[in-house]
Parts: sequence; structure tokens; C-alpha cells
Amino acid sequence: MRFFIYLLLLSLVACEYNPKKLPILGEREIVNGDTIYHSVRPFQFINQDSQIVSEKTFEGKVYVVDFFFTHCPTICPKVTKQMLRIYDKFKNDDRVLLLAHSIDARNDTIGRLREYANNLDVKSSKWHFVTGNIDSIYNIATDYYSIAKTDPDSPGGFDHSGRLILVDKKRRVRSFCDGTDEKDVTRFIRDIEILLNEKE
Amino acid sequence: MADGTGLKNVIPPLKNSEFLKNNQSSLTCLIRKGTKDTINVNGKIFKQPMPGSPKLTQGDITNIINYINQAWGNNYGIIKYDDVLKQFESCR
Repeated sequence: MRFFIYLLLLSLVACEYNPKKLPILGEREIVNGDTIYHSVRPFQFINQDSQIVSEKTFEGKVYVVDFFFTHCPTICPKVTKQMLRIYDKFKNDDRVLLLAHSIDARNDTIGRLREYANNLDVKSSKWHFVTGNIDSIYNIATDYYSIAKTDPDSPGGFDHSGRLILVDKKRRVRSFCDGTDEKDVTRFIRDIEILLNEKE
Repeated sequence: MADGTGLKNVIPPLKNSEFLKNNQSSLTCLIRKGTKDTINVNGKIFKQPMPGSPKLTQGDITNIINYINQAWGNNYGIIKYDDVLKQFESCR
């Protein structure tokens, strides 16, 4: 009997101290005994409602990031369709936001972004479509471990990855998936739920 | 998308599309050059410009048209390589 109680206690302790957690991705360094994790730099862009969107917009939220352009002839529509799945799944959950960066500042004016968002029938308080200084957008893509650059040889004139990136409240990258792969996005949606259930 | 249903009001459907059925003679140019026109597909208005794909060859386009004409239950006929060639020349 005593052995069973011991076993029970042990399993309780195990549950308490090993909650399911996502890894914190990227480089890290130890400073004075503390681990400093890679995090996304502060930013400031403009969304489809001409509102400033910055790291403050995402304070206390987890968010999903992608890079696209509205006249993209290749993978973007597929990726947007998967972003829409995530939008629908967390539509009524205020803890989750979406952030789509246009990588074509010349063509994707605020008006174009607004029309695109309207055509998707999504709320701008939930899903921000942003434009801004193009170098800032290309640079922040590297913080999210994604790729965005101009490339005359690519269809549409831009080379970019269809990756979706999951970011936590401390702007640390916690998960990603291939936004063109429906199954991988299903796994990614589970990761979002794990992150939401993580203890601080 | 892969199921031919499009994307909300951004991309029109190809499945069961009156527009596709009625515009067979201009499909080659549409695929090559895209369009900025507003189009009406099954009574719904689409304004999002369609990007062109200028690098596709005549063979690619023949295959694409024959695919979208026959996929998802569509039955809009078969296009011949020579017909695509003619359309291709007319929209250089």
C-alpha cells in the first residue's frame, strides 16, 4: 500500500513538473546564469485600416506570422487559405492574433491590403495585414526564421517562404509549419493550443 | 484551390464555373497575362487582379486548360495543342 501511495505521489509530481511544452526555438546565450532566448525585435508597420501595428499590438497575445503579397502567382493563396483555417479556429479566442506581412510595398498599398482583407471577410482586429519600410519587413523575416526578398527570377518578382510562424507573449519563436501543407498546419494548430495551455 | 472552390471573394471558383465554360477561347491569354478586370463568376463579383504566368509554355497551358476543364466534375471539353498555339500567338 505504501508503495502505491509513493507511486501515486511520484506520478503527481511528474505531471506537475513536466507539463507539455513547446521548445523555444533559435539561438540562446547564458548571461550571469540566466538563459537569454532569441526574440523578435520591436517593429512598427501599418495595417489595412491605416493603424500602426507594433510589438505593443501583440502584448499578452500569441500570434501567427506569414509573409505574402496580394498579386502572388504561386503559393500565397494556398498559404492564405491555411491562415484562414487558423483564423476560423481561433476567431473567438482573444489570446490569438494573426499578422501577415506584405513583401511588396510598391504594389500592396494600404487600400489594396484593405480590399484583400475585405475579400477574405476577416476582422482587422484579429488579422493584421501590414506594409511598411521594405527593409524592415525583410529584416524582421529573418527574426521569424522566414525568408522574404526581391528576386527578379522568381514568379511575381519575390522569393519568399510559405512558412507560418508561432510566436509567444515574449516574442519568442515557438513553432512553425509549411503553410502550403494542410496536414502540417493541422499539427501547427495543435501547437497553438499547447502554447495557450502552457503555464507561465 | 486544389478542390476548385477558390478562396472567398479573392479567387473565383473553377469548379462549376460559368465564366470558365463561357471564356474557353481566351483562357490561354488569361493564364499567360492575368487580368485586372472585374469578373462575374456565377453571379459573384471578383475584383482581385489575377497575376499572369508568362513563363508557362504552350504545352503547360494545354495541360492546365484540359485539367481545369475536366476536374471536379467539370465537363467543358478538350482543347488541342494547336488551338492553344493560335491563342498564344494572338496575345503576345
